[in-house]
Amino acid sequence: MVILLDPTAHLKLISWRSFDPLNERDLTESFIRVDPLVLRSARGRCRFLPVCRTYIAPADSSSSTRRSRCGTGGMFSCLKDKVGEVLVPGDEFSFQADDTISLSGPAKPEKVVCGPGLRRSGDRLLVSKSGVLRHKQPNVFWIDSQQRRYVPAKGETVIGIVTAKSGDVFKVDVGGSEQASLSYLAFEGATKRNRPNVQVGDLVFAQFIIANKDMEPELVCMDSSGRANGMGVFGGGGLLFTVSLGLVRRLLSPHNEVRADLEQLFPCELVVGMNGRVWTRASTVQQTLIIANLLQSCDTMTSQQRQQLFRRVQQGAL
Amino acid sequence: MAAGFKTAEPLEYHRSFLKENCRPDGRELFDFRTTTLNIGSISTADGSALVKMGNTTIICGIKAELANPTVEAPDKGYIVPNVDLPPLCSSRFRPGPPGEQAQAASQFIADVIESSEVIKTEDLCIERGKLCWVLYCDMMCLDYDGNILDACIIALLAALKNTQLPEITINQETCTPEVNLEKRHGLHIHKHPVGASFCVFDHSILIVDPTAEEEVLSTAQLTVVTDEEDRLCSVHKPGGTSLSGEKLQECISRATVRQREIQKLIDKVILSVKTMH
Amino acid sequence: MMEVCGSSNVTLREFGCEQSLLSRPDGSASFVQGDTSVMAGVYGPAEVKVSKEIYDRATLEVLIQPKVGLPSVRERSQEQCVRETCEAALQLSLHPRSSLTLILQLLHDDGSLLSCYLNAACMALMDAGLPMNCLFCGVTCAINKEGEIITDPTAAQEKESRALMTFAIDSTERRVMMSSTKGSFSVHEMQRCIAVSQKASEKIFQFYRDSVRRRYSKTL
Repeated sequence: MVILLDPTAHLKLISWRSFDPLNERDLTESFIRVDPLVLRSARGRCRFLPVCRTYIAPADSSSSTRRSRCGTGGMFSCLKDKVGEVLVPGDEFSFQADDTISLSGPAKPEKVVCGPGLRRSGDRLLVSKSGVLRHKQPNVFWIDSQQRRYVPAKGETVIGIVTAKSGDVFKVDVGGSEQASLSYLAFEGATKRNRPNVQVGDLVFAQFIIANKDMEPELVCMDSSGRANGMGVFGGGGLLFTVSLGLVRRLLSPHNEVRADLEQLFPCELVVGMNGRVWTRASTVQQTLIIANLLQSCDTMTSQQRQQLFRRVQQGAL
Repeated sequence: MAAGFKTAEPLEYHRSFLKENCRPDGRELFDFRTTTLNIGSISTADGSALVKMGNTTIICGIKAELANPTVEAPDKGYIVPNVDLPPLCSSRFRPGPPGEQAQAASQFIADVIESSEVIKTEDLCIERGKLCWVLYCDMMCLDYDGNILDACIIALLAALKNTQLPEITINQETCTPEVNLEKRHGLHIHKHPVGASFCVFDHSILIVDPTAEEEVLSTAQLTVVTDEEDRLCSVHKPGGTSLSGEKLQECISRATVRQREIQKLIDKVILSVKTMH
Repeated sequence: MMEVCGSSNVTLREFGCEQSLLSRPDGSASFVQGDTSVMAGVYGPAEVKVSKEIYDRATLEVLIQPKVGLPSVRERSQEQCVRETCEAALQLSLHPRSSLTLILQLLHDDGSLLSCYLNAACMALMDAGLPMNCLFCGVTCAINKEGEIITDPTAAQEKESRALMTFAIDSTERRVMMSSTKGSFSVHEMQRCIAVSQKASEKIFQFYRDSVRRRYSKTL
């Protein structure tokens, strides 16, 4: 996503995707000041959004009978109690079979959507990554962990480096275990005659259309309606650097403090890829470097420390 | 049909047997393969033994050399075990320097020798601080079909029992050792360590003496080495799925029974070799 | 057969840990037990060599680097123990055809080295955010001449001991994932050591949790 930060003007979002939205409400909230056209296309892309991999949903009749015997608390409230806490792999939640059958009618089947770091095994929910348990209404849970290595996921937008041209596709390094492929037709307005101008070494901002563990990941530089929507090859200038994946997700989440703090500094362009790569360009090289250094140090600071540092920078300490 | 099933779904193929408490080669879960032992098969070595457990074949040769003891341990000799898994024995091994499995096996055998005190290294000293024996114990796998650790320990133990060292006298005038090849004497074997290896299938089912195929499909391996006094010399489980204390106990009980069987086998073979001469 | 040791308190040397202290690896940790200190780094899931590619799971490589010189046969055998323990704890099938590399650098050895390797490995894997079934920890027990069990012995205590056992305990069921022993001992002694290790593992797992919590305290 490309974010134009300009303290004098409004925050302008050219395109937007937040980490784990699932529901459009958050999207619309963050789009209040955004060009209506972009908003529409972003909504149109919502079919890409879900990051969930497992559902705990009524699957067959035998399991639903057991679920109806779950206590009023059950897994859902167990999970909710732990939201915001740090969990480690091996922690588990289970349906506690309640011996007293509810007389007030069949209990409503619980539906829990698991995001990254949670995995279903039988009627237990296992934690497989260390991190903070997060929750999003109504029933989405995931583990927010700080890792450095990127694992491609469908629908996520990333910054890639073109490493090779082979026939009809470009090979793009996105920091995952395998290079992703990007067809030369997957650009806005590209046809067999009218090829996009992409060279080896170029940076591209693209979105995963295929990403699963068994296949080569595939990128596209346009949305479902065929528009570039902020994606494509980067222009000259600017600086690419990497930060942790946790920071990237924080940067992209709605109403983020880091971004708000950054807005106060000076105007700059910021492109954030879900693979931990961030590209920035400000009016001078010095300012570009300041932003890069600030963001890279954000991981190891508390919010007070960060605000202090940002204030010092604003006062011209650097 | 069965062959196709085995190739396509090896795990399911084994599971269908384990469900009936038996294994594809007709054994029950806690049965070892037939173990055969031949002693003194290499005439040029100071001691040797050939062990076959099913298809797994290990030959062990012991070569004794004279050396100077180290300064830290002037009254001790050394034992240098080495396990070789050449490309000959299985397609999984490539030519070149020994792989991880061979090195880990060598280390395991060295640990077992040290822990069990099968031979006291003091016995290998000829003259304190000046001369001692080095026993090079080379175990070579001729046919790899799983469970080489058990076979290696049996081969080593039998070869050590077969070893005859020549008598050494030190000439007082020249201070040089004189070797009397005519007069030989055996080694003093203090303990009889014997191993029993297990595999864990599907995180719960224990089987003993796994074949190469079973080893690949298993989720964990365990080797228990016990001596004749029922003391444990090694409980080696290099990882894999976890086992409870109770399951370990089962393995240890089986290992002690196995120790008796193998010690009887070795004694029988040695006796038969003696009566033949 | 299972028996809890007489003294309810299991004494471990002071241990400490720091996560993500290296900038290049995808996950890193240093683990200190008394004077024994190990640094671990994890790379992956990354591209895999074709010769080492496994079609349905990730390839895990463990490299142990001694303080001086090249790794010997002993390191190889320790590598095997650490690798197979990690393989059982990790969900490798989620990253097929990729490689994971775990490098363990010995900084100082003052006894209980294998357990320190295991603890550092677990923290580094957790730091890399790799999917895991459970955590594991290593506990070393020494039995001295008097038959007493010493947990987490120093190098001097190891030398005087009659038997030495290292166990890896998993965090879900507290069962034995790995076992490596030296010296001879009775069945009863081993079961006692397992019970002691299981007890000690509680402390270590609590420590793991605390240090992860400390790490995430800034983002809470």
